[in-house]
Amino acid sequence: MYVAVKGGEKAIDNAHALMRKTRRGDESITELTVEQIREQLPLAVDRVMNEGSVYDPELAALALKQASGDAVEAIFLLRAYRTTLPRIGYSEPLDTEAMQIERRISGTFKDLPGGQVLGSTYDYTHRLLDFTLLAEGEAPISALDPETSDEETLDACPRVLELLNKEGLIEQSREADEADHTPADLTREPVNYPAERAVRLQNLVRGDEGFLLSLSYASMRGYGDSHPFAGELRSGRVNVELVPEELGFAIEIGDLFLTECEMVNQFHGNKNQPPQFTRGYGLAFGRSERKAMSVALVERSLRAEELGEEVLYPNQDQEFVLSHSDCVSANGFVSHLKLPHYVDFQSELEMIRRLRREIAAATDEENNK
Amino acid sequence: MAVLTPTVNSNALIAGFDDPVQHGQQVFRALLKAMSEPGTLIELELNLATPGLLNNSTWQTLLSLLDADTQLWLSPRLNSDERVTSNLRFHCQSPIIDGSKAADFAVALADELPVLRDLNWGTSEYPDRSTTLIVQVPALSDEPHWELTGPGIESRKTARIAGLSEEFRLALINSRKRFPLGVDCIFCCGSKLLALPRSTQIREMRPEEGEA
Amino acid sequence: MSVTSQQANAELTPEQASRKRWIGILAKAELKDLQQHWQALVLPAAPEYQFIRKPETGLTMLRGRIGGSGQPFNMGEMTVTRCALRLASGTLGLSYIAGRSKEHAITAALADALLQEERTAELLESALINPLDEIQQAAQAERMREASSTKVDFFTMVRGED
Repeated sequence: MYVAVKGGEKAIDNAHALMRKTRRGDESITELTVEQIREQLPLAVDRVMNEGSVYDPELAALALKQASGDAVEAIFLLRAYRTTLPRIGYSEPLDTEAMQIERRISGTFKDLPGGQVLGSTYDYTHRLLDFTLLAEGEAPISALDPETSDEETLDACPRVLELLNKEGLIEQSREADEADHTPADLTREPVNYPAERAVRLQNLVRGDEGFLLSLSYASMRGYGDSHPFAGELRSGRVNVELVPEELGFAIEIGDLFLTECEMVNQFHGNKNQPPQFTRGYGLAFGRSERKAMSVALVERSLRAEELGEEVLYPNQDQEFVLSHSDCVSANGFVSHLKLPHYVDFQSELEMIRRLRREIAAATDEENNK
Repeated sequence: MAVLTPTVNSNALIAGFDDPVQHGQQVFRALLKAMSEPGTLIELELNLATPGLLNNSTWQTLLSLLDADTQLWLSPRLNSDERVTSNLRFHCQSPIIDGSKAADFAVALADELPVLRDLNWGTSEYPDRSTTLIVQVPALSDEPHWELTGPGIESRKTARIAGLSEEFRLALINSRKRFPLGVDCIFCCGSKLLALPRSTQIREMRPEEGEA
Repeated sequence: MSVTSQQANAELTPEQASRKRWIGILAKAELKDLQQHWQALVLPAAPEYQFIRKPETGLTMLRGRIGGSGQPFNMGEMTVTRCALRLASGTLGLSYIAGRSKEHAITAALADALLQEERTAELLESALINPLDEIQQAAQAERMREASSTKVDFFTMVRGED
C-alpha cells in the first residue's frame, strides 16, 4: 500500500516544465500540428480512438501530441476526457452490410460476389525502409491507374459467410424471428462474470491491442484449440443513425470509418449440434485491422464455455481476459508502484531482518549442540 | 425499426438553462446548502420560464439533478401534463417510470404524494441508493410548526410546509426510526426550496409553542 | 438493418422523409462546405430565433451487431453535438452532429427550421441541401473509384509436384 507524502511542489512543477521541453524537442524543427498527426499518423490515431473508446480523430490526435506519441498515455487522456461529457443516447445498430467498402478480403474464398478489394494496405509491401521518405519527404502520389477502375461492382457486398450459411454449414448469428435485446453497457455497470457475449465484445473492442494480439497468437499455437480462417475482413464508411425522441424516426448524424472481421472456426459438434463452423467477430474504429482480427479470435476463444468446449487456457477464461485487457487499468496498476511505498517496504525490510536473525539463531543453537 | 410515436412533443418544448454548466452548478450549490443545513429556506436567483405545472424551483432542481441515468417517477397530474414530460425527457433524458419503488427521484404535487413506503429507502449496504422525493407545495416558511433538529442544525429550526396530508406527515416523522434507511426530501414553492434529509428529526409543535 | 430501415422509411410521411434526408445531409456535410453555402444564401430576412437547447457536446454510444447481423452490442462512443432552437414563427429546428463543432450544430439546426418554413424551404433546398448532397456523392464516388482500382482476381497455384 502506498502512503501520502507532502512537499515537492516546486520539483513537480519543474518536472512538468521539463516534460514539455522534451516533448517539443529541438525548437529549430517545425512543431507538429494536431492536424498533421490526424492526417499523417492515422493508424496511431485509430488505436487511441479504439482503446480510448471514443471516435473523434481530432481529440485522439491531440492526445497523441500531448502524450509525446505514447499510445497508452494518450488513451488515458481520452478516457479521462470522456468522463466530462454527458451521454447523448445510443445509436441504432451500425449496418456494416451497407458499408461503403474501401477494402474487403477473404482468406476462405477466392471468388467473392463483389470481388476482393485490397484498398489501402501494407500487405504486399516488402518491409524495406524507404529512404526516399527520409531524404525528400513523401513523393508526390502517383495517380491510380484508371484502367483497373470498376465502379459499379463495389456497391453491394453481401457477407462472405452468408455463402456458408446457404448450405447451413455455419452457425446463424441469430434466429430469423429473434428480437433485439438491449445489451448491458460496461461504462454504466461493472462487468459480472460470466459476462454475456455483448459485454465481452464491448470489453475486447476497447482492450489493449498488444494483449489481444498475443492472446490470439497463443490460441493458434496450441494454447487453445483454435484453427481459424479469416472469413472476411472489410473496411469502409458506415452511417451512424440515432432516433431523437422529439422526432420519433432515425436520422443520420454522420459517418465513421470501421474495420470488421469475421473469423471462421471449426466446431466438432455436440449432442445437440452437428459439426459446423462457428464465428468469432471483431469490429474496430478506423483501419485497425490487426485489432479487429485479434478481437475476433479472442472473442471466439471466450465462447468455449458456451459451445461446450473444455476451458483449459487463459484465452478461454473470461475473467482472466476481460479483467486484464484494459490498458488504462493495467497501466495504472503497474504505474502505482512508482508511488511511495516507504512504510510498507520498511515493514518488509524489518520482517526479512527478523527472519534472518531467527534462522541464524537457530543455526547457532544447532551448531552448539 | 418502426416509427415511434414521439414521446416528446416538440411544440411543448421550452428553453432550459441559458448557461447549462454555470447555472446547473449554481443550483446544485444551492441544493447542497439546503441539504447540509436542513430546514434553511433557500431562494434561487434565476427565474426561468417553466413547463406546465412545474414551478421555478422544482424545474431548476430537476434540470440540475437529473440525467439519462436517473429513473424518474412523476405524480399522476405531472405525468399526464405533456409540457412537463416532454421537457423533462428533452432536457434531462431521464427515463420516466411507472413504479415509484425503482425511482431515483420522485416528483409530486403536494396533494398527490406517493405513499412513503412505496419509495426506495435504500438498503443497509447501500442506504444512498434511496429515492429523493421532490415535492411542490403551496407554501413554505420558517413559521413554528415543525421543530427540526439533527446534523447541520445548530440547536433547532422551525419550518411550516403547507399542503402535506396528515398521513404523509406522520409517515415522514416515523421514517426517522429506520435511519440510515429513508428518503431525503426537497420541498419547492415558487423560487424557494427547503430540504429535509433523513437525518433531520421532526417534531410537530403544539399551537401554544408557536407564540413563544 | 437495411431491410427494416426501408420498412421504417416506408412508414414515414413525405414531410418526415424529406426532413430525414436534409438532416442527414446537413450532418454529414464538411463544416467548410456548409459554411460556404450557408453564407452565400440570400434569405428574405435574417432569421430570429431562441435557443431551446444551446449547442451541447456529449457522447453517443455506438451499437454494433455481433457477427454484423446478430444481437446488438455497445461498441464505443462517439462525440456528438446537438442543438435545438425555435424561430419567431414557432418552428423548432434540431441538429445532432457527429463531432464537437458548435457552429455546425447551430447552422444545421437553423437550416432545419428554415427548411420547414414555406417561405424559405425551396431556397434552402436548392442552394444548400442539393449542392451539399452533390459534394458528398462526388466524394463517395471518388473513394469508390480509388478502391475499385485495387480489385484483384487471385490465381491459385497448385501445391506439390503435379
